[in-house]
Amino acid sequence: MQIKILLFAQLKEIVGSSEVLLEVENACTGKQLIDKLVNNYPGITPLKESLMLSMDDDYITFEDIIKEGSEIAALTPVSGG
Amino acid sequence: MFQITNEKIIHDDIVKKVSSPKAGAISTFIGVTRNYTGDLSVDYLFYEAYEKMSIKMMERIGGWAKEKFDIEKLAITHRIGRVNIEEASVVIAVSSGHRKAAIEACHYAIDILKEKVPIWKKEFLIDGKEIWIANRPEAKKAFNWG
Repeated sequence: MQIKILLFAQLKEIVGSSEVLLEVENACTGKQLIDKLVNNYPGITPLKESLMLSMDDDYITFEDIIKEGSEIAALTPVSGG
Repeated sequence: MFQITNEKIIHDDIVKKVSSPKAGAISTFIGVTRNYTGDLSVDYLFYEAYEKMSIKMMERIGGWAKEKFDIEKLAITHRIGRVNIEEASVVIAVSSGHRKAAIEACHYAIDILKEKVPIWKKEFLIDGKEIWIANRPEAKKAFNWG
């Protein structure tokens, strides 16, 4: 399945786009999605360990299964306020 | 009650949102741009948000605060884009029957906002450098992605 990942701030700057499309296996986990993202965009490797994922506006863990059609974003540690 | 804006935040507008005849207290928090970070001189800040998720997270913070504290209303406005020195990046207002709940809920709301709401700050320094900031450096190991 094809997953669109939204990117913001530092990730958006490094990748040079506010979203990327990745082709992943069905029942792909958060960890597999991060692996694929870093693999396709090696520029974000130094940030890999800090990355978080959200699915439909909730943070998810590396074990969670990515649902097709959901809104996915890759997030660096936040710094609002 | 929960807003992301490109415009300057008018503190009184946020206070009005939480006004209530049942409220004996309104507490507010204003996050402001300061002109230094550690030993470095800051020119201005730039904020970017994942707006849709930020609004939902702020709504949740409002819900959690109402569960924990005896408050009437809670409102949060966060600014994005360029925020100059001495200008507000975030304003939180909370009303309650008695002062303690409003003060504590306001403190709680800014702490959770800084931890969870997907907004990012970039510091533009006087020397021309640009640095993306993380509120919690320990969050650099969010998960073991391997």
